Amino acid sequence: MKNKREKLALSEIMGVVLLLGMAVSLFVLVQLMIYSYPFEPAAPSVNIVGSISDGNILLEHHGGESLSLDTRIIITIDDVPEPEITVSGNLIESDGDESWEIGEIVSYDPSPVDITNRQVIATVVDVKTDSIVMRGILQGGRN
Amino acid sequence: MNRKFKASEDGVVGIVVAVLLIGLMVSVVSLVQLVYVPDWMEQREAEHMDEVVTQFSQLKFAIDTLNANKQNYTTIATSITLGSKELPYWMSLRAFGNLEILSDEFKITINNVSSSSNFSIGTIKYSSSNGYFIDQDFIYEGGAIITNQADGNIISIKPSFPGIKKVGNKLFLTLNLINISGVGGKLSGSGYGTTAIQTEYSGSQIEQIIEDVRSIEIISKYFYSWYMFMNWTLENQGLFPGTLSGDFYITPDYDNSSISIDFFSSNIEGYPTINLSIIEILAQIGPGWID
Repeated sequence: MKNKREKLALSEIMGVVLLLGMAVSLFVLVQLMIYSYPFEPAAPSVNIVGSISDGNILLEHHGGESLSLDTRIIITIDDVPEPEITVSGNLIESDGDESWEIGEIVSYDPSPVDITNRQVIATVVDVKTDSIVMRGILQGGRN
Repeated sequence: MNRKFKASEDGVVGIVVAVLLIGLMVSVVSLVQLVYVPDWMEQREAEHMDEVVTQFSQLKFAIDTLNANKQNYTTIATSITLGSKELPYWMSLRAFGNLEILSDEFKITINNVSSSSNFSIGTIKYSSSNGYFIDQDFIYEGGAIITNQADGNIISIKPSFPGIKKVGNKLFLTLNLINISGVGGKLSGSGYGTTAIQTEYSGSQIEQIIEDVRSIEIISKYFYSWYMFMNWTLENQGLFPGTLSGDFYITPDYDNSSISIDFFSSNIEGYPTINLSIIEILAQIGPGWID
């Protein structure tokens, strides 16, 4: 009896193994490339500087992308949130184009609440991307 | 002779899999390239703009230090990163920038009862050429750092002037301006790498006391920033705006890119006295110093 070695099926198996290997390595490569970067919708790149002047809360646009008038502003005084406001109605516009741009100031008068010696925190939320673009303690308070 | 064709599916699977795989790859790469790469690049360029602002604040610190020490032949070098690189492996644009020393960009005229005094001041300007994020300019002008973009401009870091003092009912204003003068012909740098900017105290400065000042005119491409800043500063230092019963009134002139600060003697005795000081700082872009 003579044993004959068959090599006919080998190329088929090799082809499948190579294809699978190629598929797996390509997916791994793509996954590594993609997941090394954040995928959330990007918050607008904007610099906002907050301050308090004469009892008014001022938020000044210091450059970057402009924000829409429906941008939400959350003010908390000693951890008690004030009624939520938007940029609309509180913006000191310089050109009347209905967006919050560089050099323009949002001014909020918290009266009748007295903010003297109380902690004031401002948070600016971009509605379009639902992301916080600025959060800061404008006044430390005495706590 | 009739040829007979026999249907055979041998080999089809391999080709179909290969085509599907390539299709999958192409669609994923296209999605990333068209949707995510612009977002990533925009973020990257915005971060670069923040970096340049920080570097400009270091430049201001260096100039303020030279001004405070007033020592000849002392050079301080700071650096500015002109651009940002593209993303590796993906198709994206590199951002470039330009840094230059400009002369006579900011002009100030002080008018008193009998005469006018004119002064011209040089500035340092960085301009970006971004591919994705909005283009911004950062300017060192008179001692302030100004951020400028297509929709407006603002003084990001305020200058140390004007100092305001009331003695009795008399008003004294101090204006300390910095004049940047380029020397050695090294006035600009472009590209995307990091370039040095060297600053040196020149030893020359203008000192003048001007009495009975009726108005100050400032001419600048960024006049609106100066308008906002001067209004805010003068008001916050206890002066009242208004033409009838106020101490001052600022009028912007959009056609001539200037503002005019008029003083009134409603609440003060006479008109203000201005103590003007213009310090010259020499500057060069690039390594080494050429006299």
